[in-house]
Amino acid sequence: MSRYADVTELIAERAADPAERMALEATAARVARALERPVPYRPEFRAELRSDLLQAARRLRRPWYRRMTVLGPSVAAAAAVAALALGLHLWQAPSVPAPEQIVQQTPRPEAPGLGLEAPETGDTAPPSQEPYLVALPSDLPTADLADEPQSALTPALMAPVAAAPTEGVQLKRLTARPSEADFRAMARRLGFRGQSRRTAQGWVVAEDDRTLSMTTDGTVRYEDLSESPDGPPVSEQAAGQAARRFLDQALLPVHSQPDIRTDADGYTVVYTEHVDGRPVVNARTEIGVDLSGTVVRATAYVASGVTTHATYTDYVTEQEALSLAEERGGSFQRGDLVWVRSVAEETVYLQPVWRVLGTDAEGTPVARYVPALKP
Amino acid sequence: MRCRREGPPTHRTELSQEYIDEQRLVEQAKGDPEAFGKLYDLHFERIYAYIHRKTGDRQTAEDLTADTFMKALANIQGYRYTGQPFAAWLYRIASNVVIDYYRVRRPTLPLEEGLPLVATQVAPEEAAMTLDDQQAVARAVRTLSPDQQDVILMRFAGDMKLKDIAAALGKTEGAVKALLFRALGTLRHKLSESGVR
Repeated sequence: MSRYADVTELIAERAADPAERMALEATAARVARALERPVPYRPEFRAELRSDLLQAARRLRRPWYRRMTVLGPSVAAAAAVAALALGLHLWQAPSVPAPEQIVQQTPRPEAPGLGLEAPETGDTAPPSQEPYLVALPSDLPTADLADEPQSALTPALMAPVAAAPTEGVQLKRLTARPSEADFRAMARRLGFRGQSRRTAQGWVVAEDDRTLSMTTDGTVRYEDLSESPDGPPVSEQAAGQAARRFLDQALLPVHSQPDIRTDADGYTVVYTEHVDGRPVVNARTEIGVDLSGTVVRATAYVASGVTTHATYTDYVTEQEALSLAEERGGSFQRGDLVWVRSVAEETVYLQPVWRVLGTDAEGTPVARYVPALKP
Repeated sequence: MRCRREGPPTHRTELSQEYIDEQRLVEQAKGDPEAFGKLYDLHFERIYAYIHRKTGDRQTAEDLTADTFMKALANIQGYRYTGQPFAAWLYRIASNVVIDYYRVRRPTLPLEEGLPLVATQVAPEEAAMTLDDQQAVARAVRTLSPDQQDVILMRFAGDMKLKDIAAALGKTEGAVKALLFRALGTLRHKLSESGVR
């Protein structure tokens, strides 16, 4: 039994008497005989998983300068147009910069990683080469958010944000969008066994009372309508842990402390992501946990890198934002620059938006959102 | 006992060439998808078998094996050599994946035993007895505590040294020895109750 000499030694050391020693050695030999045999698996599963892993590995390891190619020909065409515009600008450069000058930064290599991370140093990062003029993206949606009662703002949303930059505001974009393979992998990780199907917005899989969906822009929704097991109600802390485990299992990374709200039927655990010290106000990860500690619903976002699309030197200032907010009624005292997630056809943007605090025309304390980019 | 090898070395008495090659492959896999594919080829059977034996269900084993390797891929940049084989790191991920699975999922009825392979050269009666014994052992192992299951499976099915099991489970070698000894004692009683021999 030389292969199991350590087991034999252990038994010899700890067995109470020779009879127990012999019995335990026989048990060990029997267990070894049974467990040494290989476990059969489906070869097609092994091959499929290998293929999924290699695809995921290539996506993770792809150098930044090759990522453009996977975004489709439209992005390549846009790059060509930008290059042409640059050529024309250099050939016929204006003597005085126009007041609405827009600065485009050359993309920089992104740090590898899955999370919503801002690989650049933010507003203070110097451009890597001479700026040139570009227009606002033609597909950029209007950042039009309704007023939000201040009582509904979580501590994470109300935490102090980075000071507004003086030299320009940035428009950011997410660098990756999910594929069906990503959805299938997430469904598997969450224990779904059925076939996923394509919908107009993305993919969905349903099984028993559970449903998981993902849109092509990376919004994930999960619902579990099955009956909760009886038992003592879990604590707020346990609900937070359940939410975190769910996110870990689905590989949906969050990088912030949660705000936990107590509801009638359980808890809602809310994570607010920050980019360059500013919250993304309309894309909060929300996990519903029932009193038994089961995750019953979730809205979350697939991880993606963040890169600067452009810096705009002519933008709505805080004072202008307060005036624009008051034009819609009410009185506003201060503003913070925050991000709004906007989904365009090919791109997901993070737009800079002023969140101004004050009271609306009825005197209710609200947060009002005013786009910082001039149309 | 018969000696069987399903992958790269999981234990060693010295830094063998095979082990050095594995570490080199791991470093390569941090930047090269094909190298990660080779690591997958080397460790798939071991990890799948471990998870299948812990869950007793093929579909669940497939899901959790996929989860384990996806997590390994996502985290391999942070892998650092600490004196343990790469398999110990993978087992640790697999163990956590199984624990998380049962935390998120509601408790279910015990799952039915998968059918292990039986050598085809043996006589049908002997094969049936062997199959019965394998199933009895698998059932008995699944009655152990999660930690005891891990130690038994990693030692006997995964062919790992006790100190590497300790590293994989984040325990001391002494604690692993205690778990193993207690697990053998429990299995002895369970198997004698089962009547299968």
